[in-house]
Amino acid sequence: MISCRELVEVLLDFVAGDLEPEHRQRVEAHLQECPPCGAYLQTYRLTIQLSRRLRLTPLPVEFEARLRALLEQTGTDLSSPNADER
Amino acid sequence: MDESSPPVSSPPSAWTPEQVCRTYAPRIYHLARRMLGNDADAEDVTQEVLLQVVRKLDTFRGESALPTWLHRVTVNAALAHRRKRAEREGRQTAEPLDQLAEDAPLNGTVRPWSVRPEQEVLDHETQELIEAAIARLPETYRDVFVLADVEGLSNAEIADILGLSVAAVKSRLHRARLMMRRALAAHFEEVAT
Repeated sequence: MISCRELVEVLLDFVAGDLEPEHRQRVEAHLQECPPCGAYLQTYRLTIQLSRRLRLTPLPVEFEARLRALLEQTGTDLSSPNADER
Repeated sequence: MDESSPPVSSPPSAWTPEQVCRTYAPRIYHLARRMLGNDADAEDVTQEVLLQVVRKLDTFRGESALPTWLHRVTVNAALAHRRKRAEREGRQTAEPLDQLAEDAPLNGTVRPWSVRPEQEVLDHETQELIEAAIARLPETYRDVFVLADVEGLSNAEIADILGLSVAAVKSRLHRARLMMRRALAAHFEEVAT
């Protein structure tokens, strides 16, 4: 059976489903015998799941206003007849 | 339509600067802020990238190419910004790797967490905890973690964008996850009763 340290080192491939079947079975056998590693795997997965739920909060109001004005001006400049000469 | 979704009715070449800003500014800003760790640098990068987008809209025939291009350009702009800042401050940009000492489960004290993965929207406190933990990651690990576990890019895409091997991306991502797990465990571990 693999050790706890070996299990931690293959967690990335294990949760991605990238381990060879034989190696995967050895990891699963260890997990059945080792509750701390089972809890560790669960919290490793939670770390990934929670990070993927991060939201895009609104931009700072002043920055958004400044950005919109700049982009409007740039769009106007690009669409002017003399744009190609710049 | 979700605020972050691209307009579906027209190709990028027909978008107005207003549509570009509404659709992509939050994505660019948050990616840059998570990589750089401060608002002012993120604003500089967002402005720089969006100006590039507006100037190049004509070259995008379909929407599918734009998000991929945006990730690459935003990451490159953020890395360039970080290099300039490091030069000004007279320091190296990359930290040494493999600083992580192994922790649980080797010491046998892993406890379940008091958060539920099925909660659809993170509450404000949880969001702030995760953002703070990301900000404390060493830059070398933070870049890969943000692109993989926040942005959802594949290891191959990250390797391409950062100029790394896939093996290096996987190694850094794994280390970053272990650091994140340890940081979050301090807040989420259930107290034994």
